[in-house]
Amino acid sequence: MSRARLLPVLAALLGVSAPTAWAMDIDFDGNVELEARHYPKLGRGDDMEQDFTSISSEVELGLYSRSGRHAIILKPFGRYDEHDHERSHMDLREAKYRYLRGPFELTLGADKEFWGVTEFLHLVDIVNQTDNVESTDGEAKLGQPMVKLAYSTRFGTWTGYSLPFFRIRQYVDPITGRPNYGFVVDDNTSLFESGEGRRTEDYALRYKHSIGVFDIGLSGFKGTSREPQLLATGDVSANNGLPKLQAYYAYLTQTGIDVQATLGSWLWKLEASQSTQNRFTGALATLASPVEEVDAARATGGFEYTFYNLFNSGTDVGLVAEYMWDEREADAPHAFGNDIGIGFRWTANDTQSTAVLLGGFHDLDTKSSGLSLEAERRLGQSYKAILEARFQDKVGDADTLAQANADEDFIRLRLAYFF
Amino acid sequence: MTIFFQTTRQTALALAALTPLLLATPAQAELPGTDQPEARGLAIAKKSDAMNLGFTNTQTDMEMILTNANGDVSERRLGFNTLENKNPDDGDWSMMIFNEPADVAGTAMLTHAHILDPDEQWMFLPALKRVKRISSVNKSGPFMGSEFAFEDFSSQEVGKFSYKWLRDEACGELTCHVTERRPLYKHSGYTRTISYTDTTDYQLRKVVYYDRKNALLKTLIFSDYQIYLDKYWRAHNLYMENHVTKKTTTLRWDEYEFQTGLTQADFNQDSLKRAR
Repeated sequence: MSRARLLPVLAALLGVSAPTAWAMDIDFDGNVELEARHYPKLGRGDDMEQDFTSISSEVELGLYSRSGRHAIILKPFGRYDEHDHERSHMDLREAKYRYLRGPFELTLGADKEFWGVTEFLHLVDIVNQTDNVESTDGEAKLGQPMVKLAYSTRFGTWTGYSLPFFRIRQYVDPITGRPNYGFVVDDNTSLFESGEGRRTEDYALRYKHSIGVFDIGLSGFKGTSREPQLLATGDVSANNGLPKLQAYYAYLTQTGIDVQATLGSWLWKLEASQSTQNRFTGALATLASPVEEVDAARATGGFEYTFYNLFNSGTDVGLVAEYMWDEREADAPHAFGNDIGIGFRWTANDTQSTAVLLGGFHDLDTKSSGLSLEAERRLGQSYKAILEARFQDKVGDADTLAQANADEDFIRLRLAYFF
Repeated sequence: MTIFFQTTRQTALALAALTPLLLATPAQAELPGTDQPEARGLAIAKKSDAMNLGFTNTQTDMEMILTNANGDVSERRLGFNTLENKNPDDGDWSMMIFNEPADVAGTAMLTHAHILDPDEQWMFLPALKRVKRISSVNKSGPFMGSEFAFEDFSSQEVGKFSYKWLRDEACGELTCHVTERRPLYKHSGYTRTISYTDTTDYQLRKVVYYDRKNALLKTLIFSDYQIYLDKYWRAHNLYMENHVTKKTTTLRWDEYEFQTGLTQADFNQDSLKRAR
């Protein structure tokens, strides 16, 4: 991170001796990353690639008034992928003005908001659209335009959000892109239940408080669902013969609660949500299918336990176990109806911050399971190497999602330079 | 789930006040006699602690230089904000902001220290924009890969230890009270430490650490003391040598700013997200 006093720079730019009122601090930092992905198995389409190289960069420019009241933060991200034209994309992760006054914080512009406590599945987190082409773990998010007002009290923080524009979910290149689950999605044909399409009047409310060992969050959301229902169109892709789907974004009402209890080496976690939205019914729903209002209760929770400084070695070993539940179980329109996730984390606590995470998913209904490995290590002072691998281990008989995933095992290696 | 929150967790530590918080004015009250070593040791610790009363809040930056047995060097840079707790029966609040290495830049940690209850700690992970409540059990593990353990940084409240005065002896140009200190909290990596507190300004000059098997582990030397507001001493150079691994860590502190207007509102989860 480089940090400089901007005053002389501003003065030089403006050709004047800047008055003190203009004085501000500037932060500038970021990274450039090279990436290689390998898919060991052939793709479902003829022209699907197995090896992808890519370069990405994210920089952050922050301008801060000396009083601390005003801040302007710009955080553009861009990626170029040699084969996947949809994955070559740019996004303003953040582009915002922030104003602080007493207990109030006002944010105008694009920002990222995370809600929740669990590790495997983020159930209540809903403000930002997932950057679906960036990674498969769902952790990358697109910047969400918003007006946000937070009010902080001794008894917790209230935050209200007005979300005037919708970001659609991007899908990988229909001809070359991976992972491909046996269909292609043309996001130009996206449909919205709300008549205003991408110009929305979504809003959200969040309350967050810490009481002793408990951290508690309550949340409400009314607006266009970030997760589309994918509908069959009857068309197939002219390029590779895979069925063409279109994304339908329903209007959603969701309330959520997230709680963590921190008890010594144990972290106990729970997230639960109740949502209402319209869905087209049937296994292969189309725009002509009947629509019904669906109420769904979902929950996820579990624990995280860490053995610190194991055998006086300086290393930590952590265990995470979480259960994922949806009242619709196997009929749920996602993979987490009745699943268990288990993770082992090894942290060396060495000067190079070496860390390894092994994760596993198991579907208690279909008996499908998947494995993941993430490992990282700093190289020198400014570089970092990150290895990620995901494999479908077992495929249950009736598990179409796992079957689709089985050809899409991959290894991803990244080398990042930070400045 | 990503790995990143844990990578930064390893860089976490409970820091409220690493620096010896001592006062310039010589001791006025008489210490208990040398025939009462426990009472004398406790009195020395209380005197040191009391002399920092009223510092209100501080802001500073710190550079950490790690050197291994081969002489390879790596560096870290952190910012520290500390808020004095007006309640003498509770611990101070602190915010720690990681600036270097660049891959952890923007990570920040908030600690509300307590004396008998476990500290409360939250970590901000900038890549995910996530505030995570973390366990404060990790006392003996290394901080950011250095020779400092988490507990070396933790709020050094008087009530967290028992004391025994051993002797007075010369330390450089000064005379020091030599006191044995044993942690009363769980999960410590030490059976005891031997601290050298000078008899002039009641500042720590040296601490020797003994591991769980009571074997010599490491030595910390404080130097480059400066006085602020005519009252508050801060050491600007801390040198830790691990006698087992032969690794060393040096902490170089920038100038402290006192009474900068920080309030409780600068030490909550909202301000943690804005820390820079």
